[in-house]
Amino acid sequence: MTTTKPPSTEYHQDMSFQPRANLIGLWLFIVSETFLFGAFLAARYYSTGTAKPEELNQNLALMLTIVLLASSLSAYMAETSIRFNHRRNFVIYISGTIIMGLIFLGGVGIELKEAIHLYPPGTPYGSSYFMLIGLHAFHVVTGLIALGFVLFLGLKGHYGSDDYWGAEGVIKYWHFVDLAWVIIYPTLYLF
Amino acid sequence: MKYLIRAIVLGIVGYIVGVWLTLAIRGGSPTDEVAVVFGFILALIGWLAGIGGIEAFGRQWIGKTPEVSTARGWQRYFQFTVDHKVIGIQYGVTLLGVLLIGGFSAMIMRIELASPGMSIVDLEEFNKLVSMHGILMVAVAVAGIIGAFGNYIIPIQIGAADMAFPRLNALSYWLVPPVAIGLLSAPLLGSFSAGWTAYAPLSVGGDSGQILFNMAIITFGLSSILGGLNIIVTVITMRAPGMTWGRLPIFTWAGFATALLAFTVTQFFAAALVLITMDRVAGTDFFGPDVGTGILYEHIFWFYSHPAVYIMVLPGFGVILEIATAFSRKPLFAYKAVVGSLLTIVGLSVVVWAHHMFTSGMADFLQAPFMILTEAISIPTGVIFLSIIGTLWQGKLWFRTPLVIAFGWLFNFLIGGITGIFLADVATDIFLHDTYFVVAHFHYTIVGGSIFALLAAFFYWFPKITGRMYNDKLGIIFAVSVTVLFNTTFLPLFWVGINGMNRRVGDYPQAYESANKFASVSALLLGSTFLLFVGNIAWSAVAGPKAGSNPWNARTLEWQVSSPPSHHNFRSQPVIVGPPYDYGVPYVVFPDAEPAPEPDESGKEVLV
Amino acid sequence: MTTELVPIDRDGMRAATRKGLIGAAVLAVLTIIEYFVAISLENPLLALLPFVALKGWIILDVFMHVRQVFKEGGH
Ligand code: HEM
Ligand SMILES: [Cu+2]
Repeated sequence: MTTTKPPSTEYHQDMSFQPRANLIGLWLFIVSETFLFGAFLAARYYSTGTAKPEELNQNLALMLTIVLLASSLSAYMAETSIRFNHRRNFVIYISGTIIMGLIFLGGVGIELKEAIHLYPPGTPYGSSYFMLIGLHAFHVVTGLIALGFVLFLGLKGHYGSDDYWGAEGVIKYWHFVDLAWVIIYPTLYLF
Repeated sequence: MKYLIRAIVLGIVGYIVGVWLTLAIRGGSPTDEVAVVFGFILALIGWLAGIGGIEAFGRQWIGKTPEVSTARGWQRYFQFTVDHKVIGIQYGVTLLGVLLIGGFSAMIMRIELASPGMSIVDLEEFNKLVSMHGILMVAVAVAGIIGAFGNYIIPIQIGAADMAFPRLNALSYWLVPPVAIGLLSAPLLGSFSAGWTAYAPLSVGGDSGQILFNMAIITFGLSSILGGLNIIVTVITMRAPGMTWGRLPIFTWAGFATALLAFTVTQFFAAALVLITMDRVAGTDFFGPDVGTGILYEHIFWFYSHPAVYIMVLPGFGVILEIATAFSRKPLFAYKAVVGSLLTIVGLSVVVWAHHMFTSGMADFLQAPFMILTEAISIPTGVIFLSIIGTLWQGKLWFRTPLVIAFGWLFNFLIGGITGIFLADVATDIFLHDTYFVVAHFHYTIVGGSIFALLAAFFYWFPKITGRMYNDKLGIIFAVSVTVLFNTTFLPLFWVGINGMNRRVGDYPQAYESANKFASVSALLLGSTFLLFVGNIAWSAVAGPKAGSNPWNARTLEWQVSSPPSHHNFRSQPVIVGPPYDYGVPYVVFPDAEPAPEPDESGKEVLV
Repeated sequence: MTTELVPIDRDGMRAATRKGLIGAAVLAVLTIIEYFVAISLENPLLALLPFVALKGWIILDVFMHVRQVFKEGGH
């Protein structure tokens, strides 16, 4: 007796579209995040214009801006390293990014502690201030958690120059956090 | 079932942990709004982890291969299944349930409104009822067609095996049940009474049920955004060879336009509700009566919610266009103009929002531009309408249930659209705003334009999805009676609206009684016709004949595969060699699709 | 640490590194100038907008490789 294999009723689509889909999907996600920030920024400008109190801690804010920028650079270096398969540097730079992200968060904590007395959330500026800083800090926290996973996988040697999309996506997200700050910082402190 | 139980358990545990942590940190009572917020967030995380998030996403984060359910039986509907067809059905069934609950609340409202004075509920309860009805129905209209049929049909129409991000797709769906649970459990905390619009400052005060409303709708927004993103990427990157943009079936185009809108504006509703939540729990003051302003809320809210009405109706356009061409056996009239109009609507609909605010006290100079832009949007809408008529014109009409519903749709949407112009005109709107005229207008557009299209889509694709036919005579009886009763319910409301009857109030002067009685009786009859609908499904399940792969002889891709389609939709990579709607065009060979075409020697399935 | 099996393209890496460093340096300089412009002007909004736009674009282009998206077949 012969057994015949039943004809296959399924096929598996060629998956070559996937990298491009991932890239476009990630960018669309970033665009969508931009709209979310946009809504909060619009609320700030609508309710208070560019008004801001005198007591703002300008020095601290400038320092934080520089720290975040440095962390972004470190993330870029990490991406470059893994693109050229330099796994050791990748891990070092990702760790640097995480450390600077944590410093940034600490600074934000100090800021909020001062702010809660100087311009509490019930005042017009305070509402916008706490919302925007809070939204941004939330993204920093999620970014740090994601970077933590990337670091863990990097230590396990999971990424290589041929496959580092997971790391690349998280790093792009981290740059976006920096990008958002480029707008939030002047909105709250400078304009 | 295992996963569903795990999800429920982890959800409850998450809620308790969230509340407990809040109490441990700041004290207070478990019904405090902060506690509810954290409870909801952790419950949501627990739910998603339980239903399959741990395997589908968590494993990947620690470097393992993600796992998703591969179950084939009925169990897959209760799991984190990534097949887009399963997800479409999950959406459809869930939203049908929500539609029934929302319809039930409408029946209670109509009974209350049958006579002046308060009879079965009091004024405050009536407000809560209206709010609940409104938001449930809005959710159905926003996600109904695109969630159920968009998910099921779009990948097949473009010749793809699945969505671009199947796990994300499952995630979008599994975010929906918590939304329904959140909204429906709001009465435990005193429900919400600020309307589906959650207008501030009403929503900043009021019972704590509002906080559940906020959390649920933010979650729903997340689901819409992710779903929209998925559809956009799918259509951009996964079209089969030969499926050029100019050959894209019109339903896919409509779904793509809808996805673009959902993905760009939904954040604003979520943001507005986050701000309300912060006003309530964190002491900020954006919309409160002292420092803040409710006008800001209206701006942000309508920046989402006007485009949202197009999120509701654009997929409807797609459905009716598909049906018009398939049932008149004619090519789609002015395909390019329709596509252009869809995209124009996407662009214009984000710059007309303030037509909802003519009487709100916003800056005067905004009125004229918003009036003109709003009226401008009726041009592309009209083009699409004309394309439907042009397609049907002199066609060989084949009166089956989908086409009958499509005719009902045409009539309703015509009235809905034309009455919109009166509301867009500042002078008449000042007179008509906040009356039943507006209620009638948006029921004609949303029920008439979106829910009717949902029903049409249901009867059009039912044979494809289940593999069985329904009773067509019963379907036609249902279609005619729904159309007639819908009109007898809502036409009188235009009349009472013009005469000044206010919306959102449970009581009204004696003078409006007869019209309201008439509307109430019609509404109850309308509600009961859905027994015919349910009966028809039951008939089909018991005695429905096999539908075959292409009962309507339609030409888009989903009709060229078996009913229901196999796991990955196609047997091999389909290749598209012609446009989708060349009905009756000389020399076009019409594929006989049963059985589905065999692969040719190059291993590719060729479809025209 | 895993040993590197593929030889590292040192030149490519150096070029990419240089690009990132220059980008970051420009960003830092812009940030400092932006700050001093802001504290020295009465109403600096308009003067600052170009800084914001430029900084945003550098992050998008240098750090985030936004142009990949528009390259067909990309990556
Ligand atoms: C031809 C196009 C349309 C025009 C010019 C138009 C115009 C308007 C205007 C000016 C209002 C504000 C009335 C007021 O509150 O005083 C309004 C309300 C409304 N319209 Fe339309 N509309 C059109 C089509 C649609 C469509 C297609 C839908 C839905 C699918 C829709 C859904 C609604 C809803 C839900 C409201 C009321 C929202 C509320 O206050 O609760 N409209 N329309
Ligand atoms: Cu509108």
